[in-house]
Amino acid sequence: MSTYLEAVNALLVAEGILAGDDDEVASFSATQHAASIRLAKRAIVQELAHLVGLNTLPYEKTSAILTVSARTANLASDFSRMQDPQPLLLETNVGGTSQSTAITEYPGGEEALRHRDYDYYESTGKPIHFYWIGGTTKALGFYPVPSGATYYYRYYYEKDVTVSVEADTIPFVSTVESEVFNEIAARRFKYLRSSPTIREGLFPRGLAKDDVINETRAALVQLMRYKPAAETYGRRFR
Amino acid sequence: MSVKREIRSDAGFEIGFGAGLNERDAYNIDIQETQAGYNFLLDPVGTVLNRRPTQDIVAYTPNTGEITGIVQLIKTDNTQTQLVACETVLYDWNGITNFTAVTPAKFVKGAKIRSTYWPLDDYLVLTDIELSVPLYKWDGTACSRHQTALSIGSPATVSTLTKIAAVATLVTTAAHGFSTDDFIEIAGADQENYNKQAEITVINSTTFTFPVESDTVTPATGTPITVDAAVTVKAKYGQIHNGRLWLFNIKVGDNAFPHMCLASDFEDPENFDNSKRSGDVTFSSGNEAFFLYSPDLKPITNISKFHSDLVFGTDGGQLFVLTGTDATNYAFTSFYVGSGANSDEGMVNIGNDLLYFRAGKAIESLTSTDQYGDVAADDISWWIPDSVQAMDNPIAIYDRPKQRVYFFDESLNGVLVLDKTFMSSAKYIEGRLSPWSKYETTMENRFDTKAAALVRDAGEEDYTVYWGDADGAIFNINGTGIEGDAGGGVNGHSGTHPINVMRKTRVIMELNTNDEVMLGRLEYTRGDSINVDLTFSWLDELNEVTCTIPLKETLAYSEGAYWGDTELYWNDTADVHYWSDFQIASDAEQRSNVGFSAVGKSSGCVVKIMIAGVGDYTISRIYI
Repeated sequence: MSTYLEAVNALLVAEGILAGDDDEVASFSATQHAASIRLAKRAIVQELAHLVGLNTLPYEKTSAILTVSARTANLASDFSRMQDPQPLLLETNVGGTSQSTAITEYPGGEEALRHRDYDYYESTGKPIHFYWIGGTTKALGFYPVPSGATYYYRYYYEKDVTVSVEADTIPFVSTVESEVFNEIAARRFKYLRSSPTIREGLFPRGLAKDDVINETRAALVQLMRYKPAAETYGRRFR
Repeated sequence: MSVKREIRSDAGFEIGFGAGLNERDAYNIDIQETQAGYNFLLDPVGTVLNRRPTQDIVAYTPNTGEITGIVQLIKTDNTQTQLVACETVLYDWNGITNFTAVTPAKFVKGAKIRSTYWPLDDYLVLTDIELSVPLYKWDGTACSRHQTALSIGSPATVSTLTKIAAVATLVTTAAHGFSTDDFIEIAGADQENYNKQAEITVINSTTFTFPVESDTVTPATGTPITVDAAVTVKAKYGQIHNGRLWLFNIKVGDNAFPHMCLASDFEDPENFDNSKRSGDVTFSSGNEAFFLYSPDLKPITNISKFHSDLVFGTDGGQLFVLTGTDATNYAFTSFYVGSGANSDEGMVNIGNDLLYFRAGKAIESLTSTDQYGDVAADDISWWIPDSVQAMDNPIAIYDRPKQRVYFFDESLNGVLVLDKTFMSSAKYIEGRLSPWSKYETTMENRFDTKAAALVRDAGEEDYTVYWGDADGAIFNINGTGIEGDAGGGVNGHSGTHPINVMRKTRVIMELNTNDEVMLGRLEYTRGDSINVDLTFSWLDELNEVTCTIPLKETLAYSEGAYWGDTELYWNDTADVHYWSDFQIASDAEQRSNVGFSAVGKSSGCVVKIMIAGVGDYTISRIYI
């Protein structure tokens, strides 16, 4: 595990920015290497975004308890998306212990519900479904609407692992994963700080098809698997 | 663009510090020059950035007033004394902390005392740029009126002239009409010691006293002995030349003769004649005293030796040189018609050259050709038009040991510094790079001075430049302090004053700063821990970005031998140390570098380096 600041320093060292009498940067606001810090931060955030998009980071997976006493309830602030394609909310008691029941998403979502029950905003009772609510805050709506009682639901989601401040943790469990990630980010950093002419020489196939990034990214994915990947493909005949 | 360039960031563009201030153009000056800056030193060979010396306070005058004169007498026995004019007091200063008032009677506040040395009798002749006090002389113990043998020509008869101890008493037959401290002249005594000019103390209407040598015979005899009012002579400039004392820009009594030069008798600096011009038909020996006028009859401003000649300028006029061999044929002839000196003290001899501040605000260098007599002038301030325009009446001082010329000016808020050694380098001769630097200070005095002089340190053999400020502080311009200017000072100089160093490159267009990230490294030799601010002013964006770069201090190392074997563990020649400090290099060897990267993209930029503080450091170069 490493912090965002440590990862930036790792990139600056790897790329020879920090050398000689240079100390590691202590803050993103340090002016000495301001341009390099800015690009290193971009490189890390961009690469993280790619890995998140590939749905490969175990570090994203987490759960939280949702307290429901009205029609809607806000999801965790770091909520990115549910882990499961068919998500469910597991009912718990106030202490977070499972009550062995769950509610599922209303089939077809809020739009279907709106056509099925014109009074879904007002219908009260213990919720049996939830539906996705858009807007500026990620939240769920509940049907029927709880009235006079509070219910608790555990939900499993992928959290937002984007980093922004020095102390944020780079979302990798082991040191070796972090190191490999830094290698990818360093390559991206090299790309960002290169002029177009230099990019043509160092990245002849662009960033998306860069061998270093792709091979290292594959290695990182391997490292993050909980079991070895299959070594063979297709039907096996004995 | 090669990959190598990308990998090796030191293969780009180098900023050095090998030349001085060049204010002419922001685009086309050399990258070694600086379009603005201060407090850096120049080197004829090196290209490193070092700060100027500190301004150490050598002493304070007791009255902490404005210093208007610093002169030094070094006698033939190698003893030295210093006089400091401060407000209404003239101090005899021992060069350390002791000040003794030796103020003569007619001394007034604001007198800009300057001096010229008369070696035959071991004293200084004191003149006054302000023409406010008469001629004095300083023999190392007393300051007295310098005699000129000029009187008003209305002698009165002396009744008796006697003396007791070293005081003569003169009684006139009629009321003498003098006042105490008046300057009188005695003539006609058979005993020569009485025949002199002196300041008197009036006893009554017919009696006064004056000092005389104690072994003088008394009473005086002579027929008749007369007393006359001596003429008060004031002069802006004095110079010893060809065995005479030459006085320029004169005031005789209340009458000003700014275009006049008085020359003393040959080898008699106390005998002048303001009635006979050089070449007078009565002259026979050629040793006689005489006067001359500047040929253009304009006020004489500045005098100086140039090679073996005496040169002076006239206000807004031209330069003249003294020609001839004796009183029968001395004359002033035109020397350089181009322009005249235009300041009181802006002319200085720098050994092989003469610099002067001329009308139109420029500093000219008067160089002679191999066939002396044919001279040419060169605008030595060509690089610094803005700075010289700010000057009004500079005081030029040549620091012979350091080979630097300082131009103090109260309108400048600093000192312009011309590095003479730089002018002998290929950088100057072939590259025409600027030999100028500028000193500025965070002290309140801003280098404003009315008195600066090259003097010998007390008790030492080193010469340096002292200058005084308005609060009674005397500074050594080549200080060695570690606390900045006036470090540890009091009397209005309390606290330390950091020596801020600044240089600003020309516009750098060679880099592809539209497409590339500004990356660079700064090479330096470790000294004190100090921050360097590199400010990038981007064209087009009109934006400034500063990178603050910390320089590290010298690693500790041992000077001593270890284990008792200097050959094995301590190589003094190489200054490399073994064992005790694990081969940590000495100060000079602790070279390192530190990186930086500046935010910003544009078609070009100007890089300003700013170092605030009092530490020691040496920055070798910056490469981008």
